[in-house]
Amino acid sequence: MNRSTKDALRKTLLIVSSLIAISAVFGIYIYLIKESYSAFQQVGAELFVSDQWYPVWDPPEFGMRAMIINSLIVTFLGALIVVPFSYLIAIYLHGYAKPREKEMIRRIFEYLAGVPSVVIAFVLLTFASPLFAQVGIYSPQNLLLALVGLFFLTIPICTTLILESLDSVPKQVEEASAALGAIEFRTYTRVTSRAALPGIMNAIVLTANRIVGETIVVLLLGGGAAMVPRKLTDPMKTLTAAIASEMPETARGSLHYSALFASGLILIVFSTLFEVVSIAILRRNKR
Amino acid sequence: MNEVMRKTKKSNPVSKGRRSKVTLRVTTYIFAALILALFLLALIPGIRYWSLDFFTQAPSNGMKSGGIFPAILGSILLTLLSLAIALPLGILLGIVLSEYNLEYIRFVVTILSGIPSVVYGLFGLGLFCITLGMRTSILAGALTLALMVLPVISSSVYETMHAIPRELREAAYALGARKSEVIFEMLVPSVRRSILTVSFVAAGRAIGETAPLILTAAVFYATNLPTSLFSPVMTLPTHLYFLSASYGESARWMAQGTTSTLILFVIVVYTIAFAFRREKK
Repeated sequence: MNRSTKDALRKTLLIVSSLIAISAVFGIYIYLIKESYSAFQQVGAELFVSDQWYPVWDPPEFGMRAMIINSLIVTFLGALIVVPFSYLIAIYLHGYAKPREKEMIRRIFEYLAGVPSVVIAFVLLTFASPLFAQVGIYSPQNLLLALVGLFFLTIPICTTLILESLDSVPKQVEEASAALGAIEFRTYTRVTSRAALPGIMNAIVLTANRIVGETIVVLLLGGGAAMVPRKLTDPMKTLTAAIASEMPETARGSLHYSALFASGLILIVFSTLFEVVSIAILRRNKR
Repeated sequence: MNEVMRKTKKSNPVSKGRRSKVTLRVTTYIFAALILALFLLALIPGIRYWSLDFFTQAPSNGMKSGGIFPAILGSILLTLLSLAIALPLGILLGIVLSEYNLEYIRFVVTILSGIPSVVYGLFGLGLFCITLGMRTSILAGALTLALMVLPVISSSVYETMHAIPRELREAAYALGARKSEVIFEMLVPSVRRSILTVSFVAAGRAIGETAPLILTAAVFYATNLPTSLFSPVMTLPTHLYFLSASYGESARWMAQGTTSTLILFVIVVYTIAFAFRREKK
């Protein structure tokens, strides 16, 4: 092939691939807005202020407030549990572990990151869920169990991200701290962590994003009641769980179908916000 | 005297440092052990159901007997097809991100990588299955999965290409190479192994994905093996999902067998991915 045709061909390939990516993002947004339009138009504000989610009753009710709140509760509590432990593990791997030890534990985490969420859900459903009945809790699938599942799902990504940001802090900073007489632990928690703060915050945001979009774990372990849980052992249902469990049985073009697209739209807005915050944190750090 | 010595020892910063080290180590090991336990609980209980029939038969008798051959076949088909679509595009996109300074495309890819998989499923259901008339089919599922792993592939390719030293590019330009030649004849070959790693990680991602497939490609029980791209399929993760969501004790054995098969696939795929990475070092 002629040199300049080859050049032109390759350039075209590159342009086409980037166009596909851009159109995918806009396409997803436009499509979700288009499909949820009739829900917004016909149900209106009730979507956001009502807790009554009875999509197949007559007349149906489409109040998603409880599910939106549940998504946020799960995200907040999930991150609250996973981040401190990830941080401690990352500090250990960064500062204390021997290279071989660090490599091995990282490998375990990497494999866990690859375990499908449905497997985590199934293992907990089989081995952990029956324990609730033994201690007299009426709902074998509940918020607590979902949080345990989310913990296993997010601890690899959270730990890896925090560890990367700790490892990227220049050695001189730690040496200076040690030279001033700080013990290792104090150096890592006060000095290194402060230098790595943007990276740690980024890890928290991305972990939260992972949780808010997680479907199968909250669907199988959450119990599926469209109400706000009062305590940790109450069952609950999130936006993602509603989409995955109800969509296959929904008539296309119906109001229910449209309402589920509306919950998809809410989810994508959440995830976009998280990603924008993450980009902003990293960019400010770079400057 | 003894009392005083113990007190001074207790507040000694060095011993405090040692104690925090022990605490951290114990915490880390406990979680590593928990994770290993999770692996073993997923893998071990199902292994005893493995048999030739389990891998070659379709489920029968209301999930009480038979095997999971259609699910294995479906998972492999979907993963291969989605990678065939996503890999070329994702690699090209990664190249664009790294070699052309287009901030907004990186922004777009970051947003894409954060979108929940179930939303990809919704989009795929609406666009591919309904609007484009593909119904619940292999093709619709593969396109949805491809869209989902695309940002994963391209941001990893971006990372590895971005790490190539600048001097290498400058040397090639100094010899009179064009930009596309520099990219495709020098940079891409030099990161071949990383691209292989990325491909296998993406395969691991695709093979375990459940929610988008429930919406676009998978059925609980397919009477026939898929005959064309427009047939619905069974896959390992969705089979496991349907079994644990709507079947009780009688199908527990099949769910456990499916889990350990799925875990085996994941371990193999990731081990290959990591092996390429290690050789590079």
